[in-house]
Formats: sequence, structure tokens, C-alpha cells
Amino acid sequence: MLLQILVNGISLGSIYALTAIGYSLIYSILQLINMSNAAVFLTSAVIFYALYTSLTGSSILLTFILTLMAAGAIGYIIEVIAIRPIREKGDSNTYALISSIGVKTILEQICQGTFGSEIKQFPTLLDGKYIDLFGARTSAIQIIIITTTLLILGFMSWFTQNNRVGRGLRALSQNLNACHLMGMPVNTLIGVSFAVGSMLAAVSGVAYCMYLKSISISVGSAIGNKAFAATVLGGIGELKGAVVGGYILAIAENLVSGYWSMSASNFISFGILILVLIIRPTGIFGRKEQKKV
Amino acid sequence: MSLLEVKNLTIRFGGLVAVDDLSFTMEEGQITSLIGPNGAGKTTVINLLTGFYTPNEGKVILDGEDITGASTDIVVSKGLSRTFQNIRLFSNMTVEDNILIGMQHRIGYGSFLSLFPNPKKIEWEKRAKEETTAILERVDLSKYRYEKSTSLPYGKQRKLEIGRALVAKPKILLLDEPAAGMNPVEKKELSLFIRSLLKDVKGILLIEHDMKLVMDISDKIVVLNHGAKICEGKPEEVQNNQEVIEAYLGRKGAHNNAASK
Repeated sequence: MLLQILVNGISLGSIYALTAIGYSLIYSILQLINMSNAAVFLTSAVIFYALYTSLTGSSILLTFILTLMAAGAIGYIIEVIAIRPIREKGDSNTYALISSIGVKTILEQICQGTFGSEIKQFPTLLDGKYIDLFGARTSAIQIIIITTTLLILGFMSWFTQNNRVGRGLRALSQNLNACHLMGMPVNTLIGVSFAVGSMLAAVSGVAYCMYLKSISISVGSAIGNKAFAATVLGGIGELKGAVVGGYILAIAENLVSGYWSMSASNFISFGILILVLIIRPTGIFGRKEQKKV
Repeated sequence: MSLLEVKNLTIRFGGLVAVDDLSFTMEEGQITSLIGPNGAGKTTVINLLTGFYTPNEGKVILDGEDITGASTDIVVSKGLSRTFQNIRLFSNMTVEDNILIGMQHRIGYGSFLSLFPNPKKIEWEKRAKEETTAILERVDLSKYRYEKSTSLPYGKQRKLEIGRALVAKPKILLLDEPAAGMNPVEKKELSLFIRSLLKDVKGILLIEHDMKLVMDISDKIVVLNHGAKICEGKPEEVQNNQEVIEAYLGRKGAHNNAASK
């Protein structure tokens, strides 16, 4: 029982973690909570569904690659249209936050308009196949999700270390103003970070719908909000925090729904969110920002 | 041809004229200093030169090329790098990474080639590491290479910032109050170091409050007050200029100063 809960928790945690990294990445650079991330999660799943059912026949891999490219483009465009103009005017981040909520609403409305509000069947991989892991029934898609996530996390930590763009992103997250004054192409890099965050949300969105084997218009806000809670739990602005927060939250939810009740699990995520904000607002890995007066 | 030519530079913020019809030149192989009392507009001039602000009027010509109103990244690639008055290092990154960030725009592979190992990237990264080694030796920080930048003592952080600016291979190095917060011994060492930097760059533009340092090492001094140039010349000329003395000491102070001589 416990092992089963852990397996389920880690699968769900992987999905949270990927979306949470998107929140954390943007926050670390702009101190902006990019609410549109949750809508990109949904939009990507809808794009995947639309492509799969119409254009790309039945190639899941091809559909997935096209979806990723679309998500990256959407992320970049969101930054250029809705965030950059506010940023460059030097207005407060609150305006950018509201703008990102606007983008979220627009994307959700577009999805609802084109997709409709009913639940539809979503393609999945190796349906019905599973392995028995010491009594825990682990489905093939769970294994795929977990390994994909670990590969992506490994790639992300490699990517931020030893190349030009990764170094630039790290510098950006430490001192945006200095980067700008030093003459780094700040706008391009911020655009790239939005694209990266959106692509991660896309992987997460598609993976979640494959896991459920269904898609409906409500998946975005359901998972998006929990991923946000995970980000805060781990310490917003810290990439490893987003990952750890995602796994802790998902495992906690699964423990509660396993040992107590399914409906209580939703209270847990947001209960934890509020508790963290009260007791340790910086989250698990977050550092207190020191501002010199 | 001058290395840097500033012509009739003017910027207004609302009704305030922060820099007023400023013109000066920098010659190759020289240290030019920009001085003036607090609020004289020195920082605004830097921000205009480096492309952070766009001037309302006037021109900035770097080595024959018009860079007026170019964005900060263009200005760096055209050959003007700077350091900051309050040190702005990337605190959680190593000394090596800080230097590598300084040559960001010179590394010749793009976002796509960053994503996976390939010959072009490996070649460039190897070159970047070699240049970093050379620069760290130049600013005498080799043994701190893998340490976090904030763990360095203050004077070394300054040198790291200079190293980060040098690695961009600038024609002009712009030093914004490099001696701030240093003791006399450190200042002495710094002035020798700055002088030696003329081997690495074509010209140095120095903004500094420490008059002894400025008078010691400058070839030419431009004095600003209320956003306008009040004097330009060799250190001794500037020192004896009545208007400069008044700007610093006030009219009465200048009078007393003259009386005491």
C-alpha cells in the first residue's frame, strides 16, 4: 500500500515539478509570478490533442515534438507581447502579474472555445502494460513520465552549467540590472526563459493527460495551481526547490487520499501552501533576500 | 582621429537638464578622467555613453563609429566596457563564471548549439576557458578561480570586475569610482594597476572622487558641474582653474583658499 502510494506520488510529483520549474525560473529572473504558465500547460495538451486527432495521424512522437515547438513559441510570444512592454516601461511587477493573469484567461478561453467543455479521450503510450514493483502496480506510462522527468532535470542542471545560454540565464537570475548595464542581450534571454518554462509546462501537460488518458478544459488550473503551491513550498526562485516541492506535495496528497479520503487531498496542497507562507515564507530552499538600505 | 568623441551631448528629464551640451574627446593611449561634485551628472554621462539612456541631442563617436543611442549590448560589442561604482558581481557564481559572462557576446555559437555537445561549442568553450586563464592571471586572481565571487576581499572583487570588463576586449575601459571604499595602500596599488591597463585597452575613462588618484594618473581631466563642462585639460591646468575650485569649495571657500596660498 505504502509503496503504491509512493509510486503514484512520484509520478504525479514529476508532473508538478516540471510545471513548477517554469514558475521558479521566471520568478528567479524577474521576481514575477507568471500565472500564464498554467494556461500553457492546458494549451499544450489541447494542441497535442488537436494535432494527434487531425494532422499527424497517430505518431505520438511527432505530435509531441510539434507540441513542444508550439509551446516554446507561445512562451516567447507571451513574453514579447504581454510582459516585455511593461518591463521596459519599468512599471511594478504587479502590472506584469496582472498581465500574465490576463494571458492565462485569454488562453483558457481560446481552449474552451475550440476544444469545448466535455471530457475527451487522450492518446497514451503502452496502455494497459504495467510491471509489479514489490507489490506496487507501476504502469508503463508512470515509468515513462518518471524517467522523462529525471532526464529533463538532469539536462536542465547540465544546461545551466557549461554553455553560453545557461550561464547567461544564471547571471540573469542573480542580477538582472547588472546584466543589462553590462550589455548582455537581456531581452532575448528572458524570452528564452519563457520558452523553456513553457516547454516544460507542455511536457507536464501532455504527460498528465496521458496519465489520465483523458483531457478536459479544467486540467490547467487544477495542476497549475498545485504546481504553484509546490513552487512556494520548495522556495520560489530556486529550481531544486520547485522539484523537491513538487515531489513532497504529490506524495503528501497521495498519502492523504490513500489513508484518509480522496477529497481531502486537495485541501492538503493548499493547506500546505498557506502553512508555508505563515511559517517559512521563503520555502524549503529559499534564501531571505538581503537588501542593503 | 580621437578614440572617443562626445559632441554636444544633452539629455533632459522633464524640465531638468541633467547633461547640458557636453563635448569632450579621448585620445588613444591616455587616461581621461571625468570629475565633478556630487550630482554633477557623471553617472548620467556614463549611462549615455553605455547606451542605457538615449540622449536628446548630441553624438557619441567611438573610434570613428557613431554609437549614439545604440543599445547596451551593441555598445559593448563596439568596444566600450565598464565597471560599477557599487560592485555588481554575480554573487553566487564562481570567479571563473563571472569572467565568462563578460565575454558572453564574443562567444560565437547560438542558443541552438548550446543545447547539445557539438564541435563548435566545445571549441569555443575551450577558447573561452583559455582566455579566462589569461585574464585571471592578468588581474592576479588565478588562485581564486573556483571560489564564489563574494568570498573575495573587497579589493579583489574590484579587480574581478575589471577582469570581467577586460575579457570583453574593449577599446575603452570605463571605470566608475574604482577607488571607492579603499584605503591609501590599496589606492596606491590600484593607481599603478590602472596605469598598467593601458597595455590592454586603447583608452581608459575614469570617474573618480579621489582627487589625489585622479591628479596622479590622468592625462586629461574633464570637469562637470550641473551637467555642463566647466573645464577640460591637463591635471595642473584643472587644479588651478578658478571655476573648478569654486565648484568644489564654493565661492567663499575658493576665496579663502586663494588667501591661504
